[in-house]
Amino acid sequence: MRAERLFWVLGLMALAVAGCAARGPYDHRFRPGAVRRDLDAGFDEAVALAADGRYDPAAERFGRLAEMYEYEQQSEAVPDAAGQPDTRALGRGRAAEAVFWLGYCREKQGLADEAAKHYRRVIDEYGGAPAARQARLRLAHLEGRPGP
Amino acid sequence: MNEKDDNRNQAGEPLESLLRRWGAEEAAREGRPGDMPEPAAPPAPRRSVRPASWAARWLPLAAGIVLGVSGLLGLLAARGLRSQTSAEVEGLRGDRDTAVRELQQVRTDLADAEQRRVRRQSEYESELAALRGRLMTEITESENAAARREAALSALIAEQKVLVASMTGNLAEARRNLSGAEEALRASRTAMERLREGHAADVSRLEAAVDDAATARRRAEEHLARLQSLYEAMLPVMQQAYTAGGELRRELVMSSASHLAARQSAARRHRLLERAAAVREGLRDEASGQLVDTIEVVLTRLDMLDARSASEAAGFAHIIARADLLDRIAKALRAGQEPPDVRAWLFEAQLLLMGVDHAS
Repeated sequence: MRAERLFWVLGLMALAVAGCAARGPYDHRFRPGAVRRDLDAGFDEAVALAADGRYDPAAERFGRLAEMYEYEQQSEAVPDAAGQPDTRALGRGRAAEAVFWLGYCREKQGLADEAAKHYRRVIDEYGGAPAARQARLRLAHLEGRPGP
Repeated sequence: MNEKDDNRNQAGEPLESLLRRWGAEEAAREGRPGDMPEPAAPPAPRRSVRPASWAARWLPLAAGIVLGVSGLLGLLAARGLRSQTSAEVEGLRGDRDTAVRELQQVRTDLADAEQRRVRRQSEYESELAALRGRLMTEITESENAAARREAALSALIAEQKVLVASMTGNLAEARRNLSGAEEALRASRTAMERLREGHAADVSRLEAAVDDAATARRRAEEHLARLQSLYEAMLPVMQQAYTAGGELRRELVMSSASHLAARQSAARRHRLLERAAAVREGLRDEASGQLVDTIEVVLTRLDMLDARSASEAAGFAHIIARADLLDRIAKALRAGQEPPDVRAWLFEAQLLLMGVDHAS
């Protein structure tokens, strides 16, 4: 009886050690929900800055957010709580949108060439994302073409 | 002999000659005996003797006695007079010595005065020369200044002539204007009199008009309040119709789970973002331009957000609330300063975004 209990304890410990080893080194991907909440709050704050006409600080924030979302969407899919969307898919959409907003702010600042570069990047790299539709619309407007 | 000696001689000559003459007379007087009585007249030639009376006999004797007595008296008197004269001479000599000393003192004073006069004269001459030099300089400067003043005066006179000519023209013009103004004033007074005459009637008419306007304003305010109530009651219905594509699908709009999707569909269907550029071209106010920019950002975010995500819905509502967007839209619509197509676009945005904060 006692030997059987010891066997189960050792087995559970072995499973825990194996699981931790499979996850790799500790980084933010071990707490995807908390990181996403921080990123989304920063994203909403940047959109609010753009809505307030403060395009320069908004562009700076969108640039950093685009890098972070892109890093996140390149990581492995980590299932969150039951029923929640895949964080990798959400990170991809947010990355596309951050790049789009970066181009939008540059367009409002009068930097049409840089804005067109960001719009094209959204269309090329995130063609299926909702931001790609807006990017095509803004790019057509910049180039003087009728919108799609 | 110089001029100074001449002056001294001229000053002292009368006194000196007087003293010399007096000295000579005294010397002459001392050298001769005192004045003797005049010698008796030579006896008259004896008249022919005739038997004379005792008078003729004794009369010459008496005369001789008288003459002898008188001569004796005269001699005595001369002796007294001589001693008195000697004393007087001594006194006069003392006076003469005194006068001589005074004369010498006077001469000394005259010499000093002459030296002072000569020195003062030389000083005066030098001062006079300096004064003459300064005077000549001042005269030259005065002449130069006078020449300059003359030139300036000539220029000023020429300028004044031009100015006077101009002023004369202006004065004539001003007089004409004045006469015209007086004429206009008379006409205005006449018109004013006529206006005063009609003023009382106008005041009564205006008071009646003001009363009518107040009544009309009160009725209009009541009508506006009714319209505002009706508008507020119609807004949700219009919003439902707008977001549901004309079909009153209340459950689609009011569902908190899918209201964002309905708003997304409505915005795309009515092409709000595509119309933003044309709306911006018709703006008349800078504040309205900032409002359109904010609405464009919000609509862009609405188009791209994941309607299924509760966190994105909350963030979207936060953006709208932070920008105070609905109040700004309502204020711009109430102002009514923008063209009709701009107001229609703003109204559509209001319908689209109304209730987002509550629904989230």
